[in-house]
Amino acid sequence: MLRAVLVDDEPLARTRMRMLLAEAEHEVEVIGEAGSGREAVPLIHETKPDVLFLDIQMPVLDGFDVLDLLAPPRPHVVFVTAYDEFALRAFEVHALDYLTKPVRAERLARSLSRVAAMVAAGTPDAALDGFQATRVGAPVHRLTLRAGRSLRVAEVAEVLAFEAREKLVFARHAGRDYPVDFTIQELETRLPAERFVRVHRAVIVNVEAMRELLPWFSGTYRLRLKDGTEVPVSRRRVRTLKARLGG
Amino acid sequence: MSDATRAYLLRRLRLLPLMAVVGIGAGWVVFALEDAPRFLASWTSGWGSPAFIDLVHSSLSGLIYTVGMWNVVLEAKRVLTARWPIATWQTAAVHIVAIASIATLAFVLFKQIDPVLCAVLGLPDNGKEPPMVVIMGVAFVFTAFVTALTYTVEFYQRFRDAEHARLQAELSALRAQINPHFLFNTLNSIAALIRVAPSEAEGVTERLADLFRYTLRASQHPTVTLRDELEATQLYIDIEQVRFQDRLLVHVKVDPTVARAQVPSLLVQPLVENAVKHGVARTDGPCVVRVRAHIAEDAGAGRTPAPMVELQVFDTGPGFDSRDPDVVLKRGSGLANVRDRLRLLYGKAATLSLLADGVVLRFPFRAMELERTGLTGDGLPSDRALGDGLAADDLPHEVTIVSPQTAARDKR
Repeated sequence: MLRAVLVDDEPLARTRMRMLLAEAEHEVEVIGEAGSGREAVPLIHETKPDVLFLDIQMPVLDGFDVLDLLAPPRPHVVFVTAYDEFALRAFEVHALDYLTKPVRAERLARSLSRVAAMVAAGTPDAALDGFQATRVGAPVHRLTLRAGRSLRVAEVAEVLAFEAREKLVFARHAGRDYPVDFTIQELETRLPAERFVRVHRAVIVNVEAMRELLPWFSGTYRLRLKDGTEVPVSRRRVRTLKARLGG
Repeated sequence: MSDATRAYLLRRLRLLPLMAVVGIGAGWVVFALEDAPRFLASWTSGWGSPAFIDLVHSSLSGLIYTVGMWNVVLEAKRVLTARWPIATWQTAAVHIVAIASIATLAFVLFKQIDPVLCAVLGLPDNGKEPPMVVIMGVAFVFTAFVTALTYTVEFYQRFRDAEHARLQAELSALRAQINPHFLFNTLNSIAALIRVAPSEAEGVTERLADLFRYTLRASQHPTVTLRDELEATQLYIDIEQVRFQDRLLVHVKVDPTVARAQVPSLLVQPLVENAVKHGVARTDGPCVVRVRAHIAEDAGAGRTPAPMVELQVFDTGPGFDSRDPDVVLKRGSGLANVRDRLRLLYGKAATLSLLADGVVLRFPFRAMELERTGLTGDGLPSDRALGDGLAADDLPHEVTIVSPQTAARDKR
């Protein structure tokens, strides 16, 4: 029995996929459906399905974005697309499993046997891993924030600051600190440079969230953010920060 | 001074040398026609000879008349075109008569310089001139002829440009219609509906067929009525509504008086498709697309007597990345094509403005026979009811098409 999650922004497309899966030879249980990428990420995190049927063209977060935001262990993924030259090329290059709309039952059966074999043998999806590896290093625009067992997707622009404490990096978002899976060094290179600036060995701040620069001891400063909290500013980064504030 | 004025003056200044050369040449031609031996003699008889003075006289009068008249005609044409744009052969005829009359009056005025010129050059005043009426008649006929020729050439160029843009539009519209993403997703929806709601599946199939048929047929007509366009748009909206369901709400409100307005074919649906694409495809939540067509109330503050049609397509999506028309329109988008084709049909009287939440088109209201096209009908001569959206000739006072799914939500 395969446990599946369907992600597609068109309700009828999900309806059809549900019908086809119900009639398939392999036993598949649809344990969840999402109508957008934003809903999909926490749903997958909670339900931990074996296989994900993922539509590529969706608003705000598309199928590839969803894939980027999935933390391991991630499910096997079968992409679904109407027609998208870029996506089709990516699928061909990386030998990824994909279905074209309207989805055909025979074609779906082949994908299901493939996934079922991998799930039974416990082998990881090498093609998908390879594809995901090519997307690492791309600019980060969204993050998954974890609070206990729940998980949500946030725009990086909404994060006020990133701060490293005790070997963990926290994102300050809506009055709370959430641990994220990046190092400060990674974030410095992958966050949009026009939006974020590194002010300390352990701190990156959102330019929009900066409010006040307060002199501290021996040439260092404290930076007050718009939520009233403060972060340290190191001596050698003050000048670049002042330039950003002045400009 | 505005940039446009400066550019205009600069263009006119650049034309001056050409005007001068043509003017002096014309003076010589007149001189040679009047007295060929004396004209030839003027070149060999040396400085200061009476024949040479005559050559100077003919050159100067040719220069003054040509530069003066040329500028008067250009200026008259500019003012006329700005206030009363050429829309039909009748307006063109009015333009030609008006310009020729103004030019004739100017000619009479310029003639008053001739005695002064003769006095300066020490020539006797030319007494044996044809009567004034004849001179004016010749001047009138001449300018009218030249103006008509210019207009004909301009018309021909505009026609050729329009033809070119139409072919481009035809191509891009066909490509957009056979937009694979739209087609395959719609087919997928139909496949799903066949089992869960067979009659709805039938409806979507019929609409998809009608929409494709309309596109193929309309692409062969340079212009259609606004109603044809709105009906085709409604087909498109109905299909998208099945795909997106609650996420897409569409309101169409059309003042029936503008239903007959003549528009370039395949104008409205690309605008709505644009709104749907940018609205629905870029937000998770519901997106409202509003289509309005009516007569603009402030038609140029009384300067343009002709009523203007205003067509608005708004959506509640994230809006354009930029409000600068050059930035948005330069991408060779469907929007740029819409603007170009509207311009080709209506000239500068047509405008496309980008607002934060959509697009507004304004163009002169020119009524067209509803009977002439009727592209969304099935071609039976007795059946003039064109689809379900709007009835043929008995249009109600105001048509509001609210798609079924949206009707309940619209009451808030």
